[in-house]
Amino acid sequence: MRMKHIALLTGPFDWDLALLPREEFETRLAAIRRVAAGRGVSCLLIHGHSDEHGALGYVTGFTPKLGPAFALVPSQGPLRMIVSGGSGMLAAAKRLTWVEDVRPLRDLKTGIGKALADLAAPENGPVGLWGAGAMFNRTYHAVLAASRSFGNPVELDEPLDALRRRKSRRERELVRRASQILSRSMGVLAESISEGAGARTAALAAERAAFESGAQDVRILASARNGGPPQPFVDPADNRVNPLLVCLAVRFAGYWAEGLATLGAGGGALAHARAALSAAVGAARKGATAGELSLAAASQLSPYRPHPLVRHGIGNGIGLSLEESPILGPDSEACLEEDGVYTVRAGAMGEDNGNDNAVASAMIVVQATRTEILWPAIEQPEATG
Amino acid sequence: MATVAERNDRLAATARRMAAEGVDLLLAASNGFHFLDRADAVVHLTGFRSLGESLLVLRADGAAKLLVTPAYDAERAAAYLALCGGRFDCLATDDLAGALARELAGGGAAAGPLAAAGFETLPHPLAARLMACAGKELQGFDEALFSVDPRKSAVEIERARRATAIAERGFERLVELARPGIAECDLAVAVNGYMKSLGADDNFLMLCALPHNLAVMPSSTRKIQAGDTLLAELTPSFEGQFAQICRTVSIGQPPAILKEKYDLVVRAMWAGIETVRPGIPMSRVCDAIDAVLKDAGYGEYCKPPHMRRRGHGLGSGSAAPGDVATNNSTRLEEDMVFIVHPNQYIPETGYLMCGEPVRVTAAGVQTLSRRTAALGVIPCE
Repeated sequence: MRMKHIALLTGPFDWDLALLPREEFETRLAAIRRVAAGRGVSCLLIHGHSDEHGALGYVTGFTPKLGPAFALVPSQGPLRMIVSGGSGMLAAAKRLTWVEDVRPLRDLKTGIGKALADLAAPENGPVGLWGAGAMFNRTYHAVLAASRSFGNPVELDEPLDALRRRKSRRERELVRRASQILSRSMGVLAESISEGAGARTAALAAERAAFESGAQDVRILASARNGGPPQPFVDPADNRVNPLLVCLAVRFAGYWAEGLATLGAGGGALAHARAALSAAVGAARKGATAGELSLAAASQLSPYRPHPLVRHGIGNGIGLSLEESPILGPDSEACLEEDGVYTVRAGAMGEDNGNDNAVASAMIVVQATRTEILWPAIEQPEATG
Repeated sequence: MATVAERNDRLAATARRMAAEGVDLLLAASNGFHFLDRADAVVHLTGFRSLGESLLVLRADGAAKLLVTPAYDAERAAAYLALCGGRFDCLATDDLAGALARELAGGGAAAGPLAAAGFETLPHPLAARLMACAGKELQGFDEALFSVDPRKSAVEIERARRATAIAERGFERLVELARPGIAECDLAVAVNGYMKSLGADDNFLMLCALPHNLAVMPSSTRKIQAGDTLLAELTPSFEGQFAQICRTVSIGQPPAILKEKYDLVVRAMWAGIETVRPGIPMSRVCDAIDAVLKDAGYGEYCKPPHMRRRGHGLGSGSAAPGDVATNNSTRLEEDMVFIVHPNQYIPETGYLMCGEPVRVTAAGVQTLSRRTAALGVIPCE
């Protein structure tokens, strides 16, 4: 789900050794280096910015707050990070990662060029890029200019993103904890609404609850009218809305959990959305395709239409990014993988501009023989694998 | 209805500028990010802040269509369009490039030159697809776009006032909550939440504390201690308009040297603010601040790496007049809004922050804050 961008992240993002020890990163790094070596690159340049930094976080634990940040992974030897901000700001930046060599990045082209020259040699192969798809246009062109002496860079988003799809035991535990925070936060939101609070007040209460439970980040979209689609809060209006469709995402130790829910009086749409979600989750198993999940959900919707929130897909992978591969589009051939963590969504819509609309979702982990539901916004499905 | 009139004026003025430059069609893009000191082409022209990437297709005859992502934001976009009196058409989509291709095909491809603004901050694969849809080279129009009307509108100024009031109350809350033992990030989250409860929709809140700061930094999990100097840059956005105040707080009774040096940077700030008036180049504001600090013997610290700018414009629409910096020759105009903040590293005390948002008036300048910077003190037992 695309959520509202936040100007500056303020939560507890410092690297926590107890939650993600160094050996977890070393295991990842070894796998990444194998892929990079197979592609013949001399150095891997990993990019992230404040809104999308899943690749960078996977390798370094680092969360960029001020602008683009990069990790340079030479074929052997220590990593280096170059991060937006002045030298006086490094003390805070260094707390965000296990990487010891963290340097300030003022000018993109010269900063990246110098780091590449320090760590790699053009004769050993081109530069590999990861996280390039999220680069701003100006960042991308600065990277091209800085790496020109190495020849055309090799984009490795696809093979390296594949490493992120199957979550380690430790990662699954962190998503589980994020889902528990989601549960508490959504509970507070529902309670506030049931006590008559406006949507804005309830969202703020939910946000507070999430932060008190250890969340790093919280994003909320909610209806601005009865049964309206979830929207960002862009003005101070604090409307009492019934039903309230909400999308709430929380992040813990880098890992996201996302939940869609319909609070208040549920009409026929809610029953259909829940049935659609149950059917989709019931169809979720190792090897199931996005199309199979979509068909299962669609079979429960009539006479309602798919809610606009789910028209582009029934879900996606989730973890260090709120939306990571695979995107479970209706025509997608992507399969659910063992140890993959997914958000699965369903939504039903009645008449145009009416209020009989509903959304629901679940956070799931696909395992070899069963599907675990981490965040149940639905009645437990009867069949899970 | 002032918003509608102002928006129409800005769109019409931009269309006139396009015509004057022989540009047939402008693609003004937004990446959906909220930057406190950078301009957003779509917000500038339409006032609409998209969740995802968006594009305003503006023709030289003034016809305009707004393409927004994601598709599920259609209802909000349509409601906004209605507020704007239907001045431009709107389409919500999950495929911005496809929508642009259809728009160009349906509305008639422009025969003459095409221009673009905001493309540098789009994700590069999307920028490439949009450029391919345009089918011809896009002339850069960022500078021209924001120079057409660099002043804040009456509505934007009122929003800046509201944001400033929220920032000031946020600072009061910060002083109530700050104490030894609280983590920087917990304090930042609490103050941020409080400002949201007052109506802020976003915040660029930098907050950190050390006995000797080298700069202001994003909050960490470090616990605040007695003897720290706490720095805070409170930057709430109200209905999309950012405003900022910069403050410094001593955790425990401040030593005499801290009081003395803080008085110095506050004097430097006022020297800058009192220089502000229409017609002068922005560089003169920076020069006035620098002069006070150079007189006190800190000339070495008035240049990089210690100092880059003494303030900046405040987004989300136009961020004119840009940085308060010695190399900014932008002439100040009435109703420009920006922050003046000396925010100086002093070797004896570390980095110190004070800053106020100001509006350029016909007579000179007006600060938007009611209580201006003074060294805060958190008593410690």
